[in-house]
Amino acid sequence: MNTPHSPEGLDFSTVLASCLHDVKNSICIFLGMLEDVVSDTAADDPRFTRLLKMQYEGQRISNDMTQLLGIYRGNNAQLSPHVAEVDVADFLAEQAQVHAIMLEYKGIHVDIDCDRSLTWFFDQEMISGVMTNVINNAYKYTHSQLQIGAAEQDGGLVLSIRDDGPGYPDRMLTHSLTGFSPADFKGGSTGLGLGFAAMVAGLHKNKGRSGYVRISNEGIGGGGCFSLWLP
Amino acid sequence: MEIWSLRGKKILVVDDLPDMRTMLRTLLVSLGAEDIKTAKDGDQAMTMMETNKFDIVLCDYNLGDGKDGQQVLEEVRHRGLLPYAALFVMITAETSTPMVMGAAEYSPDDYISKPIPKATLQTRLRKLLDKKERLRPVLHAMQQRSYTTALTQCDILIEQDPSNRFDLLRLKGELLLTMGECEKAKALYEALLEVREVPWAMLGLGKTLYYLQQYDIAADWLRRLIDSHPMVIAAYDWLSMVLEKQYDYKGAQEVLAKALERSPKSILRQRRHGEMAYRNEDLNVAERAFKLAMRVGKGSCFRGPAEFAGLARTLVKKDAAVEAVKLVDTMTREFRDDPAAQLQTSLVDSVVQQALGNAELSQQAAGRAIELFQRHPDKVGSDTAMDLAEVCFHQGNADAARDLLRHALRNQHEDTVTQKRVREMFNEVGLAEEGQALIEATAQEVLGINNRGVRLAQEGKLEESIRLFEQAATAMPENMTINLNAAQSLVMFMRERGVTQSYLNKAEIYLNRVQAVDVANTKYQKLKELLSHMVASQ
Repeated sequence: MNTPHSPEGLDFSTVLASCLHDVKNSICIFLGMLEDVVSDTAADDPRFTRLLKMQYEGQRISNDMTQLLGIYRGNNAQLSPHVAEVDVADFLAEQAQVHAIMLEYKGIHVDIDCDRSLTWFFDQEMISGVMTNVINNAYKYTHSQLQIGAAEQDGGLVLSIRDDGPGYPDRMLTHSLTGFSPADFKGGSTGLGLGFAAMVAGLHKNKGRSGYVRISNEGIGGGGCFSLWLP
Repeated sequence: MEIWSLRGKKILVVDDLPDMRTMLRTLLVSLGAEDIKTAKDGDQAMTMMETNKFDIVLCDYNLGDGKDGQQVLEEVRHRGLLPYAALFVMITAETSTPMVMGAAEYSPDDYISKPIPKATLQTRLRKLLDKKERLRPVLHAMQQRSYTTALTQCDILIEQDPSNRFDLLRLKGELLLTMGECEKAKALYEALLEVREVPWAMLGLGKTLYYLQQYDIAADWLRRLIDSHPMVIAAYDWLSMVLEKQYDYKGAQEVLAKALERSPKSILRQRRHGEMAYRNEDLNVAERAFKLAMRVGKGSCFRGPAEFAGLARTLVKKDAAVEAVKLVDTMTREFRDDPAAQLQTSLVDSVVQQALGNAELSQQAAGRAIELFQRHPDKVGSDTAMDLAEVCFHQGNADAARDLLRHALRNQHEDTVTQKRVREMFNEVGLAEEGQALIEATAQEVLGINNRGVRLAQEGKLEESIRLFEQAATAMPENMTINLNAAQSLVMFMRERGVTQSYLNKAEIYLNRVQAVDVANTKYQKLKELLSHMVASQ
């Protein structure tokens, strides 16, 4: 990463991006080692809960940094998806697997609904970043059930995550079509997640159509439903 | 899930951070890996790949000050250190890394971004290894350079297992281009793009159209690719080549500059940018580009005398020849063992000394260059020969100039650009008639050699035909007709008397020379196919 050397040339967003990039390595080592420790710790160990909490918070830090950096790159036209053909069922299973221990611990049951032979074209890493963020959020709000699904729709692929929590607040729903919702630090939400998701979706293009995201309260029993349409 | 493991796989981890290496090692061990080696930078990785055959290479994109992951990949592919069957996975710090996508043959098998959860690594590696296994018949044939077999295998596999069809079509497109089957490649890419605008197919079509000399449509596709996928750097490189063919040198320079904004570490791109800027007389830009090429080229296998020579010439044009003297010293030292580079050095030395008004030193340097040319004519291209001839004429050494220009014309006996430049040089020294006579005589000479060699072959005197064409191909390595005929006489010999490894290798060398310049040539396609069958029968 290059940052300008002259102090008057220091641009805050460049410095921030450079800094995040650096911290990313630390968090990677941190999460990697923590994952190792968690898997070596018995579930009845008194420290287990705290380790899981650490893992959860660590992932949140990592997600936020990923999104900040993503938006920075997007604004500087340095983003282009590595589109490849993806086995969708495997991809969803991988997403659920990554969060399995935490979800299991909280007693959240995950259902995956996807045709085995479904394949689609997208950037696995980018979409995985979006999914991780949504699942992490759902973890906070869901009571006991999470449905992850994928299907072909309107000539594209729809990935959806439904929970049985209280649903999105109205103010988020009203802004959902425009992508970014205004920052609301009080509620612990900055709209960063949705903004990032909308940007990533939009970068996926095919034959003149671009991807988009939708949120609604059509989840389980009026819970939240996040969906991502990819051309 | 637990049955699958990495046991028995040889794995190389490349990362500059010790903790990251430890972390990745632990992760891999937890997936059953036992044979793991680690490297801290690109150079160390390459040394290890020279002596070990790895099944999987996990390489971080950012490797500190040295080469980045993409450069490591390009060099190991270029040097044949990474078999097609091996996995190369690029690890990136960001989901959205500002990372370049190189040419198709230089793409990693996958990208994984940090942090890497165990489940992700497991799923990905398993899928990738599984895919490699299914593609094995094709990859194996490619490794053996038996391209027709590889193509047949592609078709069989597409039929058998359509779930891999995109990977197979991608390989097939590249194979068709290697074989010079441009029309078929074009049809393949166009059909694919009807279904989905994948970047590699857009790039493939752009390349194919370039080979087919359909420059306008090629430029359209490449521009579209750049608009939708600004990080596919190879698209800029190909677009600049298309623009150069359309004589739009300014445009070519601009496109290269844009590519370099995104990916400054490529020595070849920096060098080309310098050359284009020099041609456009944009001397400050040229100076900077050549300097950058020298800096990023440190320790690279792509390093050459061209960026040094380019910088020296730029400095001479900027009336800063004094600065160029030191550069010539560096060149002399750096390229001591390479006669072609030495010739470049002496040539540049001569130009620099001439600019400084040291006529005697300039003549001495030119003398050294001429001597190198006489000893190694096979290593001297037509452009270099003409550059040196220009110096010789200037110094009143018309004899040497004549020899050099004959060499250039022999190499390019049908090229109008070369003929034009030779004609102009003779005109300038008032020898227009002699120039024209030389051009015609040399074309006749090449034609004569060709006819004689072909007649010998027809008469069944294949050994004599081979001898004649091989001699000619050494004297004029750039001459496509001669190289094709040399390959043809070798192929004919092997058809009659059996295939031998040494003849196969020779024929491949001659065909490779053609491939680099004119892959769409129909004679090339025919010979490449015959040769590929022979390789397969080995």
